[in-house]
Amino acid sequence: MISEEVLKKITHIVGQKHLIAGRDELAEYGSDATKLEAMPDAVVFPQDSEEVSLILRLATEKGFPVIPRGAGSGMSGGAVPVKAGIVMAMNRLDRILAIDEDNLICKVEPGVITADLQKAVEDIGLFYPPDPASVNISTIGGNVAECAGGLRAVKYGVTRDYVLGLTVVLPTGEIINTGVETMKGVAGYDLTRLIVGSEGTLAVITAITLRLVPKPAARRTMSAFFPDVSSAVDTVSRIIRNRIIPTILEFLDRHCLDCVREELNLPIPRKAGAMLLIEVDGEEVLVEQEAEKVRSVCNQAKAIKFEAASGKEEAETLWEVRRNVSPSLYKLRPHKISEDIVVPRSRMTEVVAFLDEIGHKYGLPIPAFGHAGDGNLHVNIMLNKENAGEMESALTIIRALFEKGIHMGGTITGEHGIGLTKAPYLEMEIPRAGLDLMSRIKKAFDPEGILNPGKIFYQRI
Amino acid sequence: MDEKTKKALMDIVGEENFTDSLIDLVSYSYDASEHSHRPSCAVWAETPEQVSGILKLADTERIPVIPRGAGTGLSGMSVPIEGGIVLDLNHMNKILKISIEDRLAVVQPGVVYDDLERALVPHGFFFPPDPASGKVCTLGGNVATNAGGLKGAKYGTTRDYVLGLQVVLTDGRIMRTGSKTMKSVSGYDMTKLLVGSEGTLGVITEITLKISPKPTATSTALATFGNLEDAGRALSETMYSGIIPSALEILGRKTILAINQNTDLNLPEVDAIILVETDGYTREETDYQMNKVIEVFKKNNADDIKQAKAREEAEKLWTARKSAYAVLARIKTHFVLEDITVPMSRIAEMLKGVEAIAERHNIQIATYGHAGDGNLHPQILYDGYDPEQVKSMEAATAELFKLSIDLGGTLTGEHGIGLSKASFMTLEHDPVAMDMMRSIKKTFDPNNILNPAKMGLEE
Ligand SMILES: Cc1cc2nc3c(=O)[nH]c(=O)nc-3n(C[C@H](O)[C@H](O)[C@H](O)COP(=O)(O)OP(=O)(O)OC[C@H]3O[C@@H](n4cnc5c(N)ncnc54)[C@H](O)[C@@H]3O)c2cc1C
Ligand SMILES: Cc1cc2nc3c(=O)[nH]c(=O)nc-3n(C[C@H](O)[C@H](O)[C@H](O)COP(=O)(O)OP(=O)(O)OC[C@H]3O[C@@H](n4cnc5c(N)ncnc54)[C@H](O)[C@@H]3O)c2cc1C
Repeated sequence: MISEEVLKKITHIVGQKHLIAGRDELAEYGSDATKLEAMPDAVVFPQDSEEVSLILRLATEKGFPVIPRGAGSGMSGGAVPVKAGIVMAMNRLDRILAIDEDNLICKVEPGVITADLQKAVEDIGLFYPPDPASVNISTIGGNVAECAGGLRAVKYGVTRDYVLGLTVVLPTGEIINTGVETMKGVAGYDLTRLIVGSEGTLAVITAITLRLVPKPAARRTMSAFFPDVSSAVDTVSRIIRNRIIPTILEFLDRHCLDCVREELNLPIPRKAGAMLLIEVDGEEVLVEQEAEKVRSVCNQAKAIKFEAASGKEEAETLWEVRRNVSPSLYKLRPHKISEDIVVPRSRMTEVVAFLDEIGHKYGLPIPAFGHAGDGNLHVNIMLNKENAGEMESALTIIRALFEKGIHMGGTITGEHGIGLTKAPYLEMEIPRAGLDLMSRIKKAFDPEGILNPGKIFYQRI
Repeated sequence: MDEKTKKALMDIVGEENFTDSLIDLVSYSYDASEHSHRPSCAVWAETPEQVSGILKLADTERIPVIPRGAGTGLSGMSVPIEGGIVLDLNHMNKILKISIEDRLAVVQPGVVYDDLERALVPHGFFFPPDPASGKVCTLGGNVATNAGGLKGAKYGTTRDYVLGLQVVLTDGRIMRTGSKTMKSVSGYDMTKLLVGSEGTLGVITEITLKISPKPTATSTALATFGNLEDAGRALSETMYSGIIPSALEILGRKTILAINQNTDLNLPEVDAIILVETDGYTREETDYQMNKVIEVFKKNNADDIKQAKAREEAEKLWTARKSAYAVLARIKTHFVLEDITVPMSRIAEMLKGVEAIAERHNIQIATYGHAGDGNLHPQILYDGYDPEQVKSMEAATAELFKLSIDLGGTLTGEHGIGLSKASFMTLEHDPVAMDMMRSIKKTFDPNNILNPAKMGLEE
């Protein structure tokens, strides 16, 4: 519990209005999209780097935890204050500081909502490609801290690929600038990319310089249904082998299709065992050509149905399918544990078959969908958490899934991060030497361990 | 180095993979920069286990180890400035796997850039960074320096393609980072921390690279500009137009003059020549893009625009750019090649600034570079036997760096810090950032045996 004296000091830094310490309002800041809960001692809303710096310096001096928080849409418990302390909500740092059209860069504060930035740059003909499905709520700061991916990663990469430089406040209160405002730079170690994806455990990000690209002139959305997973995955490989890198290549398995079928007035063939959603973008003429190539590849690969959306509205219906999947799965069971493993693309069929088999064995449905172009599968173990047996089965399944994925040369998380939920499994993937180095890096940045404790590095609580 | 240590090294790599003959030590004392210093010995490692043994031994005995690829570095990164053991990785030169389905290649560090290129051709894929030294430089060196090249504006640099590594740490432990997949956010990004670390954090013994479909068609054009501002604006507007050229190179007046004096290319003697290439899968597609670029050039007062009709013609246009380095290298006894990078919109200012600096210090500086990502290569030509000129060169270099930083740029876009730019690190990085880098170095290499004295990390 934080002392009255410390709270007073913090109040003095940010002003009474920007501190919450009453229990009722605190609850809202104790959870994220994982629905895990923990109560912080207080929530503070700093307005600039200087305030962040003063609070962090105080935290290092007095030894209380500080948990940076964006929108709380994280899927691995990154923003959950498991060790109590002060939640540092970045929402007031929400300005787009500059959009530099001549150099295709922009500078933003971390609290800017991802979709707001996308819109602001699109209004002037530019494009910020990272596109997590949570764009309407997530913050850029949270995206950078998690290295968020999203639908367009196949062609455009992930958040990391767009971060050129950062202003960050270290746990000791020092403010530093990392990286460059140019398209490239190799002077010294890459502190910028070390902080990207560090889940708020190394520093608090207070400003971000991002690379932008020109907005593609046209896009074409297509859908294809396949009798089984293997022909869908085979299609993905064929598309790549035909040297087409689509903007989006999403995969939905049979369970997912069954769940969305009734909700949408999209005729999904009964026989369909898998669906691909494909989008290509670029110059108008080129998009036509690529779409045509995609169609012929899908047909060669035994698609039972192929459709190219003829306009924005039709494309929108297709995206609705994708967006509706996640919530519609609750039809199967009241709770869900989502994983986000990545495997070499050619091994996806094996993973889905494995899920069917193990799900069957334990009597739990395990729908999978995801970013097929990256080999990134969102695996959803559906269960009733109140049922101890099901909970135990789910944990067994998770471990078996991770073992399988790692064995294939894959990773336990492609975009959601380690946070709390995957911390116990990190040692399955990262060798001892790697974990040692990571924890020493943590120590170099945060000698007192005040910044987002309990995350990434597993601590038995 | 005592005989006992030499014997121990021979036990690890075999006698035939050890050398301390003078002739070898002399060749290992250089890279492509102006620095040199002899090592005590050199070894060729063939396995990660051998690398591990060497590092363990060196760590215990506190002997410097300098990983080395082809030694084409331009800032003294692989020069054994404190002596020690040169660890040559050229024998680890196997391409372990190419998987088109998974869009990746797994290679050993000693594979030469062009050898991977050739192996990918039958699949229609490529590894895009394309450094101009591709015929000789190694992939290990490319990763350790985060090499870039002509195609940077469209395809990025080495960093964007490294998915995972196998690395040997100074305590001898062999570690894997990243994964053999397109993305991962599992723990801190050790892979990207090692990319560009110039052999100071660990020795890379295996690399997993993302590869890309290789466009089969290109269009090429050359445009001349009588005025630098127009050229600068043409560059910015091109990048904004929605077309991203696969190459966008600039040659400054001094470079053009030097080329004309030393070849029979007869280039128009203007303020700037811009070379542009667009790529795709059909000529129709690349011409479509090129026409848009040409529109932008015309709008910005390009004097003369030549479009190549066939491959041979395109190659002719490229000879000017490709001959720049070698032509300039022959003019004086010595040269240094810088690689500052500035925001696109400041290229014209930078080019003007370079001319002013050259004039002020009465020294010849010719500039060319990858305009598409703001990366300029001023090549300073001087007589290394004339102390006055050496002084001018040093003063001009310092001013170039300062100007680049003032324009919002960086010291180096691709060649790295090494020895040449070590003393300028604090121009770009504040003291706290320098401290963080030093702690990282210490974390990986507590006894400072791995490529010591590089990157300005020593206090
Ligand atoms: C419906 C839904 C769909 C999603 N789809 C995707 C998807 O497609 N791809 C994807 O990658 N993710 C997805 N996510 C996950 C989530 O939206 C992302 O991880 C997002 O980046 C989190 O942003 P946030 O602002 O909500 O951060 P929070 O959840 O508030 O925080 C996440 C982490 O970042 C840290 N953090 C936040 N701000 C800062 C800062 N300024 N400085 C330092 N650390 C900070 C926190 O401490 C925490 O560890 C989805 C989530 C939901 C609910
Ligand atoms: C004519 C010419 C043109 C050039 N053009 C370009 C260009 O267009 N773009 C560009 O980026 N560079 C260019 N360079 C510079 C140089 O070729 C690159 O920096 C290249 O990446 C170096 O590779 P190398 O194998 O020669 O490495 P080396 O010079 O041998 O080593 C470079 C650094 O990498 C380290 N290193 C090498 N291998 C390993 C390993 N396995 N593990 C750990 N550390 C290692 C070394 O210790 C050293 O610090 C050019 C050089 C020349 C001479």
